[in-house]
Amino acid sequence: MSLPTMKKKFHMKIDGVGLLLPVFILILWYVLTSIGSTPEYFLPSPGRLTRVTVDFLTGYLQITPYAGDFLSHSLASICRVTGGFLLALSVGLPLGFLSGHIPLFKRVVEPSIHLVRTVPGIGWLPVALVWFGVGGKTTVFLIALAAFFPIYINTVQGVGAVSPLLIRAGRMLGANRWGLITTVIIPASMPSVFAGIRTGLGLSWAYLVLGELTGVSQGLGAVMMDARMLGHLDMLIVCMICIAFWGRISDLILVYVFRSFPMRRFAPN
Amino acid sequence: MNDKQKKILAVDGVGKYFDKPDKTEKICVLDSIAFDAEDGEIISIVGPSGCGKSTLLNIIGGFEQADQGVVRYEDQSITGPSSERAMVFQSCALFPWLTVRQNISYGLQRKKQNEQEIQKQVTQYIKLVGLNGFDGYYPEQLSGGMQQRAALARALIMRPRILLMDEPFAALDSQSRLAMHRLLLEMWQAFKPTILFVTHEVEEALFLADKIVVMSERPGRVLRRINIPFERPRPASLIGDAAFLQMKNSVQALLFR
Repeated sequence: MSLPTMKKKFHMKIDGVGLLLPVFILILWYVLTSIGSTPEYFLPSPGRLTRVTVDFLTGYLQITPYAGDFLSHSLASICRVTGGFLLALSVGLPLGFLSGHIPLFKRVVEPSIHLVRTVPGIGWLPVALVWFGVGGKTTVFLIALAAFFPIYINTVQGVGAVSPLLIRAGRMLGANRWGLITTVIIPASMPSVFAGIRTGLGLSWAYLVLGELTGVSQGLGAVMMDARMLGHLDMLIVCMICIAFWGRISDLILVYVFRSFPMRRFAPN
Repeated sequence: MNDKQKKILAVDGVGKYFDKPDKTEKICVLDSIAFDAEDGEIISIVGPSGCGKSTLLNIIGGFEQADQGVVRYEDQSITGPSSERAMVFQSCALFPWLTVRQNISYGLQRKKQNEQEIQKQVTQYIKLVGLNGFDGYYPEQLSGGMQQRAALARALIMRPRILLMDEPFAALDSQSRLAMHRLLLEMWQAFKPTILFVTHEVEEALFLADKIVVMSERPGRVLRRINIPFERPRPASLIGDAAFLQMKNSVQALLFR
């Protein structure tokens, strides 16, 4: 894939004006740390941060205990996010479809789902710790729970809002019940479903950190917790950047997958 | 026109009620509507907006049930929609996620026909309605007139016995509307479907139809059934003829009584 087509596929546009503020903040940060008014343990300098990042990625400098561990920790985190997110998809999509398509089903499950939703995700942490123990399983559970709601709600909304006129057109042209579902209702609800999936994936990364902070040996959240206890603020910030990086990459992959759907005209821009 | 033609559709005493929003009482929308359609005839149903003519078309299309009376198609009462009674909707109702070609193929694909055969037919119909070169366009990329051409092709490819048209050209500018009239009459010449054409424009109704059914304001009743005697093919200049204008005036007088 050549760069121009890649740019087109991912819709990457760089607006020079948007860079002004980050550059200004970077300069301010550099000045603050180099005049020595803020200690390294409180706010590491940009230079220090760059060296720690390179070290984390390559293991070349050996200046932190985490040198060269970027890939293994990332992999552990990505696995948890993928697991939780797929779990949310596999429950949220079918339930959302049934609720949107069958009014009686919606009346049965919707009140309970909204009741559960009023409990903030963090509120589930203590219970999850009891049920699943400290670590990986709890993390996957929290991710799945958090990502479920936007996926479910947007699917219900999308399926329920399919234009009756399009359904009539489908019936008139000879689509049976199953045909209507696969050729009219599902494609027509795609924009809303995609929006829900995308929000769900974003939340997955947020809850990854929460879950991993409870204590796992591998994962970006685990490194953060460890670095905090050892006073490596620089490492902590590097982990935040890594999570932002993976979050963005996973979002781009998602958009790319949506675009390669047959009904790609409904994929997000 | 031959008087001994076969009756294809019989609307017999059809009544329809809607609930008021507060559900306390019912509003009568259609009141004992009755008329027949012969095979290959063009009938315009004309009436003021809100007179229930779209509801009537929906009942004939099988999308809604009549509360009173019955609609018989080929001596069978209608139980649901069918591609033999194909509908062209006012807002065209093309599937926005499908291209022009995919939209037109849709109906034949539901019948599980040979894909190669389908595409051959689709190509033919695309040409017939004058959309050559627009196969790969999505509905939103087309003008209103072109969208209706695609919708017409999507209905016609099913070879319907009856074509139900619900104010299909109401949203078009007068230029494209004239072009659509010409196209519709060409298609009618080629396939001779029975056409039920709902409109609130008297001129359009008279120009297209063999017979018009004039409806009153709500509750919709049939005020009069009028045979339109003008010879086919009808030139566009017909709408300026004295006989045409006279007829137009008398129908309008009926509507605005």
